[in-house]
Amino acid sequence: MGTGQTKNKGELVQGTLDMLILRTVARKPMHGFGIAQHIQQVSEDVLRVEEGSLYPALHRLELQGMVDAEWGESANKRRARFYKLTPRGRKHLAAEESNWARVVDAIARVMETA
Amino acid sequence: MRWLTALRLRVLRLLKRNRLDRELEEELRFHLEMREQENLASGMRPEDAHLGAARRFGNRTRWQEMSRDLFGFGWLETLAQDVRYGLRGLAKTPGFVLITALSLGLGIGANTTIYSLFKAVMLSEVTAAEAERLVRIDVASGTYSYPGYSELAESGVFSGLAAYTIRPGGGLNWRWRDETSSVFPLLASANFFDVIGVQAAFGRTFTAQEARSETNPQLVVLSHGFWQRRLGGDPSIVGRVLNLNGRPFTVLGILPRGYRSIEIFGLAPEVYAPISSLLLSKPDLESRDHHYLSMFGRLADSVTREQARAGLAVTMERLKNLHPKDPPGRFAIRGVYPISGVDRLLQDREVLPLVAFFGVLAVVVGLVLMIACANVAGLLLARGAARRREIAVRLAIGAGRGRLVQQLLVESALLAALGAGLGLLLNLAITTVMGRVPLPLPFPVEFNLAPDGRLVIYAAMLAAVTILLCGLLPALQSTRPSLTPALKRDEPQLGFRLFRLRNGLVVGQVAVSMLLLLAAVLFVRNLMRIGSADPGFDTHSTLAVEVDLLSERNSERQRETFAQRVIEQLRAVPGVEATANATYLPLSLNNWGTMMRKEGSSEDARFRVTIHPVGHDYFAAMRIPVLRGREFHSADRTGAPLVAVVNESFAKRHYPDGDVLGQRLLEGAVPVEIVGVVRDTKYLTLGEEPRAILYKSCGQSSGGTSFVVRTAVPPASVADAVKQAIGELDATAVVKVQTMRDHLAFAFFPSRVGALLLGTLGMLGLGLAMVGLYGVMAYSVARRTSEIGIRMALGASRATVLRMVLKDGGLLVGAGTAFGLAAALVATKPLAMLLASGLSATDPVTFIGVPLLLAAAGLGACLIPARRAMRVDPMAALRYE
Repeated sequence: MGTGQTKNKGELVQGTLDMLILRTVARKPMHGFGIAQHIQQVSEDVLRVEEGSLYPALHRLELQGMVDAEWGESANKRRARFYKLTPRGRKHLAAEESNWARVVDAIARVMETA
Repeated sequence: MRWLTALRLRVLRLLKRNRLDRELEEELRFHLEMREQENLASGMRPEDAHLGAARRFGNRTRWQEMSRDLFGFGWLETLAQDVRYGLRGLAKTPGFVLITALSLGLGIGANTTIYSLFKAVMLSEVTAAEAERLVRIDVASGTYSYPGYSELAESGVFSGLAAYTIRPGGGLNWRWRDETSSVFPLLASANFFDVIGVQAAFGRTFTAQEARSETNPQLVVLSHGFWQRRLGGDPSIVGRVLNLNGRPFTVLGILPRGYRSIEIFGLAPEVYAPISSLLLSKPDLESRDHHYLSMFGRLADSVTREQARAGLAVTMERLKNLHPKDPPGRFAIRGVYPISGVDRLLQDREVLPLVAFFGVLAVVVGLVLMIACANVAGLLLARGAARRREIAVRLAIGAGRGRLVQQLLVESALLAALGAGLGLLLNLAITTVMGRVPLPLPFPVEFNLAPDGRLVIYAAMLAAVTILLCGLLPALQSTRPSLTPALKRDEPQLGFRLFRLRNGLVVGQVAVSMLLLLAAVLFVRNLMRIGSADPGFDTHSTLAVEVDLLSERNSERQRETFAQRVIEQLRAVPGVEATANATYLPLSLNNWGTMMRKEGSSEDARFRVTIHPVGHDYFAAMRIPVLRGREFHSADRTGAPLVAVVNESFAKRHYPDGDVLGQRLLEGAVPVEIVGVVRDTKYLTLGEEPRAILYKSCGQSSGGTSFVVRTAVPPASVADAVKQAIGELDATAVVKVQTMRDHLAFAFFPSRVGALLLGTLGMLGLGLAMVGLYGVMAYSVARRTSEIGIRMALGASRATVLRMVLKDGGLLVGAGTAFGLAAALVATKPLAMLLASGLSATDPVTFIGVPLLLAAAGLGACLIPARRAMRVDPMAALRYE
């Protein structure tokens, strides 16, 4: 994916964070910690999310109807809140993805012709 | 539906706040613990693992609050918080709350009461089906004749044209269980109820078919109020008979409660009867020259008022050609306008003085409210100053200025709500009392003063405006962020600035109060001048007597015979000096006219003449000076040559050069000779311009059973004897005896009401301004306690301190007075046209007396704080520095 839209030191702007979260839970329902782990591992530590900021983002997505949340059991039998992608969320994700691709493309073209 | 989900979640949150809080807490804790475990697993030391997890997580409180805010209703919760906080804060200072609530309550109460009055008197709607399709027809002479109306009704311009008259000069004779009394009727054309379209509550109303005047219908419909008051509310009266004017009238039905008659302004006829020769005289029914009917019509479907007016004008043209002998001006239409509501007020010229009066009242109460608001603003400012430190602390730890302003505004809103509540209560109290007070009017009125939704909305609007006026400035002022001085409690500068602001408010209050009082006193003097205007005849030692005979005894000759017998009889009553009769008394809403022309001139030269038939020795009894010639004596009766007496204005207008005595006028074909000239008197209202009047002799025209009795002793003491004496002559007659003063009470009524209202409001405004002044002076003295202590310690005497305080107060009052006077001198100029002659818009008595009054009141308001200043103990003051 290359460098994301960053502010300083790997912090993510709100819109991008939402997109990453949705993509993560599109694979399978996850709790907040799992989402944080996933993003860190898959991006090989480049994308550093201040982990607590996930939660307001998750709750906002929940209010907007992009994800559903449920209490469930974690891998080590602890109670955790799991987030699942909804059809609306899926649609929004697709839209954001294609938008993102266009932006990245455009930036790349500008950088090449410099 | 995204918002629905969000809403559901939010409502859930609101209801199960604790549970959701715990869940949020749990979710975050889970994350932190997992991270800590991870850290431990990758080899960190336990303390580092914990700290590392926390550091990586970020500001936990911040994330929690962000999530919490997302779920909450945000502003609604902060509002509830503010309300709770505000209530607690207010509860701690009950004195402040009391004064504020009272000030606002009085201001809002006065405003809403005037609004209720205005609505009840001017805007009351007529009870009718589709009242907006009903229109009034205003003809050139105001009222119309019965034959004229009948012609118009046939023209078909309206889907129904009706006419009616209210006879204020005396009601119908009503015989009920051996007692004869008067009922106030509305006489109507046959189709009256068809056009209005109202259903009776019991029984029914009369139809156009059965009530045709040619059939002499003996039908009557009763008003609800009359039915309750005089017939005990017994529904079995429907179908039974009432003895009116000596004849049995069948009661067809009773109108619903709260029915508002076509005449609006609260007039409430007691019975409704069809026009016929049983209730009106032959000339009234048949003469084209007797004008007394008011007309209204229902617009046909899809016809507008303008179209109707145009159609009417065309019809009138046709009728004008049909009656070439009638004066052409009679056929002019002045207007066709709605029967009630704002539209009518805007178009009906006769109503204009009343509207103007209410306009003045509205401005006055508006000013009173402004003064009250200034009071409250000043108090809020002082309160804000006292809470300076608290607000500074809150600003310092991060409260947004907007949030604080919101909280202070909420406090003001609570106060305004309290004030509005009190105001509404005041309104309720006043309107209830007013509804019970009997008015000295010769006809019954019913005002619907009940509060309704619009009143509450109006009060709410007022409250909102006062919040903005009173609360915004202090709120913004208090939260101005210069924190350090506030925190250190060391702000001489700020205290001074605040002081100046409050001073400014008080100067403003005094100025407005001055303006208010000046206008009020000016108007009160004006009204009293009108009210005490000399009507031109004796009012102190005279009785006014009105007698209504049964209709079978009520022919002109019978009336006159009866009158002579009464005069004879009354001569024997001790205390009576002189008695005379007349067809009606002056200033009793009677306005009779006829068409006359000078002898020798042509038919076209006829002009309208105001007629007042009076008996012999009338002018002597009324002490109206006879300037030239003679007045009527008993020889001037039927059979003798017709004579008339005119007043000065008549002589001046119609015979400006040359002698009026001996001139002859023709009424129809009948000549009348002028034999005397008397001084002008008031005829219809106390405020009218001099009017040309022609007096006929009762004995030669309509006869008269109204009497004036001049007494040598106070008239009230003879009243009973007079009533009894007349009663002995005819037990079936309705006899009404009052002193002339009481009879004129109706004419004085507007002046009295106006003076009362304006005077009260002016005093109210003054009181409020003085409270504001007192508040500022007290605050100033309290603030300067240490300064006063130092001065006294350095040798200032108590007198010096007193002078110092009074000087400060005097400056405020002086400045306010100066501004107020200046404003008043400008503002009252346009009012000059409303004032009676002899009173200028810058009347010296008013413009000197009122400032003196204000100065005295201001002095009083400063006195208590001044005394407190004098009693400052220098040692105590210095110790608390």
